[in-house]
Amino acid sequence: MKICSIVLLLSVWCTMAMAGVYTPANLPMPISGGETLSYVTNPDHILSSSTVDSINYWLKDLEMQKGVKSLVIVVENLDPDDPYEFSIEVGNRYGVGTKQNTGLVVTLATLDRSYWILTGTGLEKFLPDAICRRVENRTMVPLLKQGQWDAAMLATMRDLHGILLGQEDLINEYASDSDDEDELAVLIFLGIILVFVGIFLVIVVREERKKRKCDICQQYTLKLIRRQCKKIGIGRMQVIETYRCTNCGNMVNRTRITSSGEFYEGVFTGGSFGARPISSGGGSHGGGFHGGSFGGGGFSGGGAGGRF
Amino acid sequence: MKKSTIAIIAVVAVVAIWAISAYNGLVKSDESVNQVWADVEASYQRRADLIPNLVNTVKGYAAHESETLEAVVAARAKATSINLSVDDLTEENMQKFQKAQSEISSALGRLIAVSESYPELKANENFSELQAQLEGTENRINEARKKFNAAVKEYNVSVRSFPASIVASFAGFERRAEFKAEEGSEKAPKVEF
Repeated sequence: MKICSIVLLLSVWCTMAMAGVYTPANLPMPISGGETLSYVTNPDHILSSSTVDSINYWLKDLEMQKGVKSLVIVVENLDPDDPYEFSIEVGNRYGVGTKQNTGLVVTLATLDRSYWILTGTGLEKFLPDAICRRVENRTMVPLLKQGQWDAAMLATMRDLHGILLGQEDLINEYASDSDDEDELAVLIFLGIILVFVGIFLVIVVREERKKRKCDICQQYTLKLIRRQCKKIGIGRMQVIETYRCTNCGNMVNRTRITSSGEFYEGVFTGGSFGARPISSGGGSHGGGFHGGSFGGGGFSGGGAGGRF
Repeated sequence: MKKSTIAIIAVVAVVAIWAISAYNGLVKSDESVNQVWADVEASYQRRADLIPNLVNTVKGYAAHESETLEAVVAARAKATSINLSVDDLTEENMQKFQKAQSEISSALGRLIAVSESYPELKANENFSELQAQLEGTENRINEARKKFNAAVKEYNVSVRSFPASIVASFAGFERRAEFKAEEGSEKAPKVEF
C-alpha cells in the first residue's frame, strides 16, 4: 500500500514536471556557444526550430545594433501563474539586459493562455506600455487565439525588432555609460589606508626601538636623559639628545636636524606619501554575451500583457 | 616615544577610520532610501497624470456613469494634495499618503469594472492602451514600493545594529517608516456560492 502511494505520488510529480510547469528558478536559460547567440528558451518545444532561428537572428541584430538584450520564454505553464510576476522575477534573477537596463523579456505560456512583454527601465521610453499593448492587440493576440504559436511569436518579435530599430536615440542611449559608484573601490581604498597606517605604525615602533639600542652592550636599554633644541634657520632646528644605557652606563649623544613643529621625531623628515585608490574601472561590464549571461539589467515594471 | 602613546594613536586611528566608514555607509543607505522614495513618488504621479485621459475616454462612451467618474477625479485631487518630502516620512504621514492613494486605486478599480459593460469602450484601442499604461503604472508602483521597503529595511538594520548604532545616534540617523500592506489585504477573500 505504502509503495503504491509512493509510486502514485512519484508519477503525479513526474507528470507535473513533464507537463512543463516552470518556476523562475528552474527555467532553463538559453545557452550560447561560439558564434551562435541564443535568446529563446523553449524547453517544451512549442516553437519550431526554424522559428527559434529567426527570432535569434532578429534579437542578435537588435543586440548588435541597439544593445537591447532580450529573452524569449515559451513554455506551457508558469509558476507563479501571473505572467508579469514570472517575467519580472526571471528578469531580475538573471539580470536580463545591460548596465543601461535595456532588457526585454517576452513570455508566452500556452496552456495558461497568458503572455507578457516586459521592458527594462532603460527601454521604457523607447517601447512604452501603450506600444507593447498595441503590438499585442494587433499582432500577437489574434494569432494566439488561433493557437498559432510560431506565427504569433515570429510576428511579435519582428514588430518589436522593427520598432526598436527605428529608434534613432536608442543607440546613443546605449553608448552613454552610467557612472555607478563602485562599492569595491571604496573597500579597496579603505583597505589601502589601513595597510598604510599599519606600515606607518610598524616603522614608528622599529625606529623607536632602534633609538634605544646601546652600541656597546647591544641591549635596548638606552634612556633619554636630556634633549637640547637649537634653532638653525627658518623653521629648522638642531636637536641634540643625550641617552644613557641603564645596562652598562654608556652615554650617547644623537644629533639630528628637524623642522620645528614636527609631530613625530625621527621618522618622516619630508617626503610625502599618498594612497591612490584603484580606479573604479566600470564600463567593462555587460560586454559579452557568453554562455547566456546577462549584464545585470533592472526592471521597474514596464510593459504590457494579459490573457487570451 | 612611549609604546603606550603609539598604541593609543593606533587605536584612535583605527576607531576614526571605522567611524568614518560607518558614517559613510549610513549616508549611503540614507541616500538610497531618498532615491527610491523619489521613484515611488514618480510612479504615483504617473498614475495621477494618466487619470484625466482615462476619465475623458470613458466619458465619451459612458457619460452617465458620472458618479464613478467623479469619484476617481475626487480621489485624485485628494491624493495629489498630499505631498510628502522625504524628510517627513513618519509612520503617520505614510499612513495618510497610503490611504489617499488606495482611495484612487479603489475608485479606478470601480471605473474599470464599470467599463466592462460597454463593449464599444472595450473595443476602443485608445482605452485599451490607456488601460495597459494604467496596469503598467500599478506594476511600477508595486516595484517601487518593494524597492523602497527593501531600502528602508537595509537602512533601519544599519542604523539599529551595534556598533554602527553609536555613530547613527551621534549623527542623528533615525529609524524610518516603511509601506505597510494595504488594510484588509492580509485577509483572504471569502468565496461563497
